[in-house]
Amino acid sequence: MENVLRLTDMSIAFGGLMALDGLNLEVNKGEIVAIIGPNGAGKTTAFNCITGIYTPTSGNIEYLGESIINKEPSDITKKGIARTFQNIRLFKELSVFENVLIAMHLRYNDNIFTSTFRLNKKMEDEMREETKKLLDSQDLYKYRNDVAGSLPYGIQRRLEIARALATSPTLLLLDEPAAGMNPQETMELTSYIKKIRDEFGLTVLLIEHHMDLVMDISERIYVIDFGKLIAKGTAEEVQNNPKVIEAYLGVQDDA
Amino acid sequence: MNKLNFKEKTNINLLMYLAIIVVSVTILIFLDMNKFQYNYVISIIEKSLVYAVVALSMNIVTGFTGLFSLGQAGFMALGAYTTAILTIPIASRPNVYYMNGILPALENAIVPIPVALILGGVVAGVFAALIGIPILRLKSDYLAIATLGFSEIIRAVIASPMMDKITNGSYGLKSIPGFKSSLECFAYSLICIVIMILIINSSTGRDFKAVREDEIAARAVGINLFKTKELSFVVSSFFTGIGGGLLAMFMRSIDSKTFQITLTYDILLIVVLGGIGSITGSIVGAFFVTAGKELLRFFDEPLIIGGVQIPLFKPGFRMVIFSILLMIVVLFFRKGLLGGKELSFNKLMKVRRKKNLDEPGGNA
Amino acid sequence: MNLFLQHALTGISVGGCYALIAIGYTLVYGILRLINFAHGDIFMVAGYFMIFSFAVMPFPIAIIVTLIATTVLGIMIEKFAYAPLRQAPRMSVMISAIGVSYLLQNLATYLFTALPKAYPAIPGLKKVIVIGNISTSLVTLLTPIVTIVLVALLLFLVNKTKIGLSMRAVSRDYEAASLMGIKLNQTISFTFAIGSLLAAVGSILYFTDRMTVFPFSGSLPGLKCFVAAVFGGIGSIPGALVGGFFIGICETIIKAIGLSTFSDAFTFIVLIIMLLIRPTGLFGEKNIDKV
Repeated sequence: MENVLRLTDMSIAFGGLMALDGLNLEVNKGEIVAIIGPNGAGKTTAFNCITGIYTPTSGNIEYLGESIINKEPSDITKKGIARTFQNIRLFKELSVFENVLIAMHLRYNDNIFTSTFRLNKKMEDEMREETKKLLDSQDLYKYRNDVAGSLPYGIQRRLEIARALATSPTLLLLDEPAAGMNPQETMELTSYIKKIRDEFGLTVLLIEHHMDLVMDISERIYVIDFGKLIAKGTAEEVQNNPKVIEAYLGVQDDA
Repeated sequence: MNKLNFKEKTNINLLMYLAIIVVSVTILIFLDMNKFQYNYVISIIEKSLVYAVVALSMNIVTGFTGLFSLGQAGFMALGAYTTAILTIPIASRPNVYYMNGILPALENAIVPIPVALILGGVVAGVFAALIGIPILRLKSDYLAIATLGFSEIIRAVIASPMMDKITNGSYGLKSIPGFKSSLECFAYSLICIVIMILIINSSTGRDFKAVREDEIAARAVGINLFKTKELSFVVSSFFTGIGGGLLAMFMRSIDSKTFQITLTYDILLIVVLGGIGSITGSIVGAFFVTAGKELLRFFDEPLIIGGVQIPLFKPGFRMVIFSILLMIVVLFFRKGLLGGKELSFNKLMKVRRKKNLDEPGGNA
Repeated sequence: MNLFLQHALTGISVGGCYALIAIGYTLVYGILRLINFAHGDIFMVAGYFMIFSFAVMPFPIAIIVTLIATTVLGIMIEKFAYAPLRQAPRMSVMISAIGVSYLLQNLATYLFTALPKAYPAIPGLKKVIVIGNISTSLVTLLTPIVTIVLVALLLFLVNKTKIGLSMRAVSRDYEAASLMGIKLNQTISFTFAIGSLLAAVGSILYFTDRMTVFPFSGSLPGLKCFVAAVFGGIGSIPGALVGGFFIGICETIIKAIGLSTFSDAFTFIVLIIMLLIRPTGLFGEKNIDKV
């Protein structure tokens, strides 16, 4: 199986605090992998390291066999890693159409002169056409003229995923995609993630608290607590791991 | 179907704008023909046009990219001095530089006015690029103070004795060729404004807006934050520089005191009143503020009614009024007097059409 | 040597005034993440307060009136211009601050004309003191002492009292502090009060030396003091002190070697160099932006 993402001994410290301590993690092509762990365990920090927002203190991050440490976040996105955010980060005052259109930019090579004097008309038309197609396929076209920030929460989440898809990623990182959703919506989301994985040929790494979703969807699970990896394996293996039960599942009622 | 609709709207807007331009040109030709009668009106219009260019350029970086730059006066100074030095007629130069003489290299350096204006913009742009490199990588708070400081540095350097042979130090420059007619001013301003609007509405402009909306999300969709900010800052300063050149032509004589921090504040006033992030707001704001300042001039004169002097009316009163207006807008109409919207004709049309067709979901 | 000492003394004195103003910037930025562009103008208005109160009352009372009036002005500005914008984007608050600055300058021009007004000579302060071969005025000697005493008091206040604890809490985490029952508005008002009070003290010392006040006499010193605060590490009180002295001394040296035109420019070169090599300033802490 082809390896897409590999973290080796990745650590990051803020001041004296080790937010992540020697994390090892692997994601292979076509997989859906979940990272779980209690709040503050360092899951989002891991995402921020992978996408270049933070630079790890030590260790390595390889994407398709190439180290992506110290790369600009925008370059990492260009290489094919897209993400969503725990607290939804849309371009709030812009329209749904523009939100996705902006994410299309990275695949087209124009500059200020061509774009100002409309020498890129062909490109621009293509981008708009593709945006339309993508919005259509994600069932968002009807909202195209709405201001992103004014949409209902669930639609905003879907738009954020659509925007990530517009960068045509290989690896999609989803940070708590089911946050704030009811069981019905969560179920829909589960099948949606599978659907886009197959449709767009994605590899998915996600952070989630909804255990139903995690257990249902993920081929493998990594459990982090206090910045350390405490378990990994299939849903079943993780569920039965005493360390995990102690750190995480034990606190919650087995939902 | 929808695409067709979109094209149709664009055409209506374009036609209306062309109509406005034609009407403006006609009015200006009329005013130019009766120059002596309308001298005052012409000067207000010219000044408004120049300020509209600078205000819109400030809006590119502040309103559309979300970076608070306060270097307008400095960049205008660069553009103004470059334009002035390269366009003052050679015959007048000994007279202008009578105190300290002129640098031999500049003695005969003269270029056509449009070239001088562009060079003024380029000089401003280059300086912007240089200060942008250290500052724009940091949190944007520092940009405000660094550009404000830069503006003061430029002023100090221009006035310093070392620059005597170039900028004529504290004596300033005069005999700058002015606009031959208000149409010339209109043409330069219009070209700048149209290009800036094209930039704002291009894919580059969309990148600017993305950075304004959410820096982290912008990076996550592949926008290079630093490059985009730097680009916006340089483009904005380029047009501010040209605006400075136009101001030099309007004023015909400049010195370092022309470019004090108050000049930046005046531009900011226009941008804020017109609405941060509104193109039409900046343009309308420029006319509103410039004309308003002239119309309110009588507030600065002592007012005597029936032999009694009304106490409020004395020099400085209209600036107090403008300051209070600025505070009211900042506190209560945060989106400016136009409410952060663009004035557009198809919007006016749409209100009507909506009534007729009851077309759903179209608030572009 | 004598000349050097003379300049050093002047530099330290100017630096003391700068430090007092810089603290106002640092405290407010620490709490609201706001560059209070109006702070320099509060300092200028304090100058006018002194001129007018001195004209009608004995100087000790005039000083007290000036201090109180300036403090009240600072609190009022916060209440009217910044407090309503708590939830607004940061840029709106900054523009509001510039608006206040613009208003104070224009109001001063309107009320007192743009011409410089003579600053009253507070009895004794201008007295010439001769130490060895150096002659200086009392105010020059007094300024650094007053500055250091006030900073010591302020550090005590911030580190050892309840209100100081609230200030530190609010500057750490605004929302958490208010959830913990800290009275946000009260703490912010208090911060502005301290900043303005110190600016008023600085104003008395500074203008006694300069002898005139005009509507723009606050804008450049204000900017310089903000740079001093950034230099020392914004949010840090000792940083503002060190920054103030540093800028004051350097400026005096530059003037002394005959580069007066560049003394103002120098401040901003310091700013740019500092931001290049150490954006957090001498004593600043590194902040991590939460994603």
